[in-house]
Amino acid sequence: MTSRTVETDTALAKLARALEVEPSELDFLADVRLEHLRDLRWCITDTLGAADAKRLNGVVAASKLVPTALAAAIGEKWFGPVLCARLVGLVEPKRGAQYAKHLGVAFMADITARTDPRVAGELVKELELPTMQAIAVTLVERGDHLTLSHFVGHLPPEVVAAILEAIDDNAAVVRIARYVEDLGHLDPVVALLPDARVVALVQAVDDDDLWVDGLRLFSHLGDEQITRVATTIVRLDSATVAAALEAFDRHDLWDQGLQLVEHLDPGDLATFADVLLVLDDPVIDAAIEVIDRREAWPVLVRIALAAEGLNGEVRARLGEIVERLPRSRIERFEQAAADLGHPGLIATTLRGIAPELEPNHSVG
Amino acid sequence: MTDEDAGRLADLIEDACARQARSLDHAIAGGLSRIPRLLRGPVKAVLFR
Repeated sequence: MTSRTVETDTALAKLARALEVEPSELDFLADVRLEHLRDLRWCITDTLGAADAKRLNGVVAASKLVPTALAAAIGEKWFGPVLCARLVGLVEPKRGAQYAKHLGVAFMADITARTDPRVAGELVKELELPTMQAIAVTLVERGDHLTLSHFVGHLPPEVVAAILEAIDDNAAVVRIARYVEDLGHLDPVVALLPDARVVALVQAVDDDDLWVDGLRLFSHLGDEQITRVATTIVRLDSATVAAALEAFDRHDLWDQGLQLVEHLDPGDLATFADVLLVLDDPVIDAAIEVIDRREAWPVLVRIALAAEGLNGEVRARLGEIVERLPRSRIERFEQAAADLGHPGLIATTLRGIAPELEPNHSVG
Repeated sequence: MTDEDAGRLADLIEDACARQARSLDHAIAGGLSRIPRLLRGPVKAVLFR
C-alpha cells in the first residue's frame, strides 16, 4: 500500500460519508486513484438517489399538500438528515428556502453534512445569507471542516466569501481549505477576501503552525493572490518570516516556499533576505538544492540584488553562501544574473563581499 | 482494485441502499401519522400513485 496522503484521507472520508460508514471501513480503497475515488463517490450518491427516486419524488409532491411548517416538522422528526439531504435536489428551491425557516440550525447543519453539493446550487440562491452563515458556524463549531470544504467548488465564490465572513476562526478556515478537492477553486474566493482577512489567515497559519496546509494552499493560488499572501507574510514581522522559513526547512516545503518568494517585489525581498541569510548553512543548502532543481536561480539573483541595500553583515553572509557554491552552480547563478540584466554580478557587486571570489574561482 | 475489493464495495453500496429504503419506509409511515386525518387520503394518493 502506498503512503496515505491528506488528499486520499479526505477522499475516503467523503466517500465514507456518502455510504454512511466509518472511513476505516474503506481502507481497502486507499490505493485507488484520487479522481477515481471522487468519481466513485458521485456514482454512489447518484445510485442512492436513483434507488428510491420514485418514492422520494412522491414525498416531495405530497409535501406540497401540507402546510410548510408541518412538512418541515415531519422532515425533522421522521425523515431525519440523511433522507432530507436526498430531498434537497428534488424540492423546488423556493419551497426549500421556506422549509429552512422552520428548521433548527443544528438540523440544517446535519442535512448539509449529507447533501450532495452538486445539487445544492439552486437552493443556495434562495437561502438567506444569515441562514447559510449560521449553518456554517455550527459546522465549524462541530469541527466539521470536511462538509464546508465539500461545497467550496460548487457555490459561487462570492457566496463562499460571504459565508466566511461569519467564521471568525481563521485556523478553521485554513483547515476547511485543506480538504477542498480542486484547490483551483480557492483563488477566486481569496481574491474576494479583504486584506485584513488575508493577514488574519496568515497569522493563524503561523500561530497554529499550519504551514504545511497553508503553503500547500497558497501554492495553488494564482499569481495575484500568491503575491498578496507572500507580501502579507513578509510584512507581518520578521518572526513570521523566520517561522515560515523554519517550516519550509522542517517540512521540506522549499518548493512551495520558493513559489511565494518568487512573487515578492524588491523591497519585500530585502526584508525576506534579511531573515533568510542569517540562517544556518544546512538550511541555506536545502534552499539552494531546491533553487537548483527548480532552475530558480533568478530568485537567488534577485535576493542578492535586494541584499545590496542590507547591512554589511548580511551581505558578507551572502558572499559566504555564494562562495561555497560549486562551480557549476556559480555558472548558473551568473547566467541568471546576466539574463536579468546584471552580468558579472559576482565579479562586481559581490566582489566586495567575497573578495577572494573571482569568476573562475571553483569551490566543491 | 481487485475483484475482492470490488465485491466489498458492492456490498457496502447494497447495504447503504437497503438502509435508505428502510429509513424511507419508517419516515413515510411516521410522517403520515402526523398529518391531519383529512389530508391523509390525498397525501397517500400522491405518495403511492
